[in-house]
Amino acid sequence: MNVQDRRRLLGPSNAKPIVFSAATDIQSSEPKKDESSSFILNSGLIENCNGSSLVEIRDPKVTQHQTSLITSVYGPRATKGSFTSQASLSIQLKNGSSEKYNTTELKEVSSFLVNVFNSVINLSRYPKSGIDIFIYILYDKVLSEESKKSNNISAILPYCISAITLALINAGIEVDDIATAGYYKGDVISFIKNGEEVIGYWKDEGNCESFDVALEHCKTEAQKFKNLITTHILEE
Amino acid sequence: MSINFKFPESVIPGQLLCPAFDIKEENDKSIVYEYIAGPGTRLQKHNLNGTVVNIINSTLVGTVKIEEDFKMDSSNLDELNETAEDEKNHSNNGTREIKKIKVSVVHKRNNTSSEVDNELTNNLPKEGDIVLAKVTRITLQNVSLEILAVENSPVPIDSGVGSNGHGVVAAGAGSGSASYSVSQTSSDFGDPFRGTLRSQDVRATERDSVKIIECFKPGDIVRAQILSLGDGVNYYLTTAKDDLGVVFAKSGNGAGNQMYALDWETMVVPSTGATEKRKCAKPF
Amino acid sequence: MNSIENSVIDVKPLVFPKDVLARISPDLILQRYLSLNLRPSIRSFDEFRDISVSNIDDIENEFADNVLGTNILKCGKTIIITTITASIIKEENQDETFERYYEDISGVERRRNKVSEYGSVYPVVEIERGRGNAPPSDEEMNIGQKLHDNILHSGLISKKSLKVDYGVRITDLETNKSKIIYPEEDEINDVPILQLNHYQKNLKYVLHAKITVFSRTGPLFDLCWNSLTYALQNTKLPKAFIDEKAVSLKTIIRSRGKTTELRENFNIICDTNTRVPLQLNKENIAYASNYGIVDLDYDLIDTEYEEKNNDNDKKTVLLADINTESEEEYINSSISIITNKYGNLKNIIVLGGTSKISMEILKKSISLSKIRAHDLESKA
Repeated sequence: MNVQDRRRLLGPSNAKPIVFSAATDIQSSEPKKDESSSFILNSGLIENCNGSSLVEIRDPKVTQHQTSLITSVYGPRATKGSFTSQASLSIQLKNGSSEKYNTTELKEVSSFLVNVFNSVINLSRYPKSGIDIFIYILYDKVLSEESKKSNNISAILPYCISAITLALINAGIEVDDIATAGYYKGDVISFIKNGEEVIGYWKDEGNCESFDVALEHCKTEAQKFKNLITTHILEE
Repeated sequence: MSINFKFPESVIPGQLLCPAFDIKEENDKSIVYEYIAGPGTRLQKHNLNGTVVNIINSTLVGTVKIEEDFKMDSSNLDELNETAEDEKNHSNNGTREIKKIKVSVVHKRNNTSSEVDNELTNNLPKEGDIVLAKVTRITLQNVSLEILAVENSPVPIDSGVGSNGHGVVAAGAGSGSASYSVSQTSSDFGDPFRGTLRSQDVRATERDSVKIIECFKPGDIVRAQILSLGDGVNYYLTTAKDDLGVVFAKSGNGAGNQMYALDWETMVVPSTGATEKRKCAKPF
Repeated sequence: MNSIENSVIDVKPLVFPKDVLARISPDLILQRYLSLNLRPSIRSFDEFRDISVSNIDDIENEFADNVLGTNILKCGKTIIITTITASIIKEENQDETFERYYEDISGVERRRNKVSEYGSVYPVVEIERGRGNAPPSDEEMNIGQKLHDNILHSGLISKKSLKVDYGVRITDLETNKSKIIYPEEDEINDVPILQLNHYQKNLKYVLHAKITVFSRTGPLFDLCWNSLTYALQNTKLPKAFIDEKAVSLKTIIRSRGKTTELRENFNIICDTNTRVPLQLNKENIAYASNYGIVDLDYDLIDTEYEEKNNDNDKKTVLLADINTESEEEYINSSISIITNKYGNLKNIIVLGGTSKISMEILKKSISLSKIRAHDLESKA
């Protein structure tokens, strides 16, 4: 907690956050082995931004995460400062109810995402303006016991990429292609053009055999997301 | 216009539309179609069956629009022309014609409202656009404005009261006043596109004797045209046309009632008959 | 919609699409709608937006352990997510001194001091509007402060219900099994519990609310208030205990001279499995609604309309639940009411603005609030 934040009501400074007992007393109710995966895509749910998307994914097999992301795209809007011939892009991630990931992790991820989307958005169409993207991690839950320990943010990266793509399309911002990504044992690879071009590669701790193996797995995963997004767009 | 190329009707981003060039034989004459990527599309290199080809693909969800472009601006298409010429030399067929076709994709959101200029695939103000702007400040030489809308197209939804609440305090909720200056350039909220109008651009005649105070007052809504993208902050605007100028104004520096244009330099309040001076836009 | 009065000459008048007109001249579009007995949102004057509420029971699995209560409120396009968390604070031994003082005072003083019997929530409001990590806006700060003050003064949460009645976890060294003994459930006259009770009154839960607003389309205070009220109603406080081993209680109690210092070491742990609902003062649960008052301006409405209504009385209308840009920007006079369905008013704010607020309007707004509160209560 900050030294003192006078602008927010954070409560008395000497209050201690509550600590929960570790699950020493084994919770019998906990392991509901539900192997069903679900993918819910929605776009345009937020009124006061140009484009938005809601991505709710539960995938017990590959990423072992259950995640819900709200993404909003603001802009192209005016920037301050000197003239720029193309749009500048910024992406920010925010923890929702649970303060799960620390700021450094989120910063790293957002700079990775900026790199990915700099090569996807047709930035030169938008001179002297900025495009701001915000991802709100509504919840994120690890489904398997093993991966609970590592608390890896990389598993939700493909979701973030899909969510941003969807929100950009909803905003009517020009993108070269539907960018998606796949996850395989700590590796995240993002593709465009039917998997012909790699636009981002994220390596995290994980026991991935080799790049080629990861590439193949990620490609199929990415293709899956792409199909989902395509069907969603066509349904609208 | 006869194009033998079949375009898909509705497209999604990344969908391939057409190659950069296409040739068609017609009455012993070969017609070269040169497709030009307009708004909503982009010319990119794609790998098709092992060969790299220049292909125009869509960058938006929407419908394809094709139009023949007669007056091509040669300056920014030199490159394309050269390649076209190269091809011309290769096939020493004197009877060939080059047709330039502009391919663009119209975003579905803009499609819905009728009478809307469909050229605007997004809402960014461009050179030559007609915009509606609110006067924020006047000096002897300049009028400062906030651009509210590109005509016929709602300006980005994410500025305005809805998102930043710069309106008056509503019950039980403070205003979200926009006065905080934030270090991050584009993360500040509700920052509008700004424009500036110089006194010599107010009208086409007697440009030297323009008195700004007799043409605009803060709070007026002005219909203006964009002269240039300007500098980092301002677009440069002009009202030197009959149909440009003040469209909405209130009397008494905004405190009074709505006024209507009487002639090109007078506005009147119908209920009281009071008149004020403005540079009005022709209402029809 | 024609922006300029129609002309007899056959020319095409300058026309603006509705969206553009709403942006450049919100007052004009609002007045035009009002003259048709409608609002820009096609609601009638005293119609509220529907509210849909979901809470932790529906989504329990998805939130983390430390979230004690939640609410997701949808109103029109606006989505408000409220989560309640808590922390524990050691209060100075005020209670007894206060009670003694309380007996001596009377009247206004007494009523004022009644406030100190109540607790509140510390809300942090975040309105998602694409600003990034900028400092909170006026609106966020105002709403946060108002929520805090109004919860406190409404008497919704009494301090007693925030008290931590903690137990002790006793580990049997022989069987290596641990069990937790809570004060209220023991007929077992365990010595540590009795000693523990001595220090009980010092610990108190502090409730924090995180309110995130997506898709702001109008004033938010009443929506945030309602969401927070719903969230508090399903808040469950965990049972807390101290480990017998973690802090040697006996040490504290025996070495009386140093107690204050040692009490800092209290290592309160919350039980993951058992939770008890937060006790609210049910009669003080209230819901908020807002109203705007606007005069019809005949200069903005078609001239023919004016001729028909020759009486120069300004007609004033009451609009319930202000929403959309044109309403929010143009309406200067407003009323905000927090009440329950019986008209037990908790808070009322009337802003004069540009329109005259008559007694009639005030009465109407209060009766509408009661109906609204009744409706909202049924959704809790």
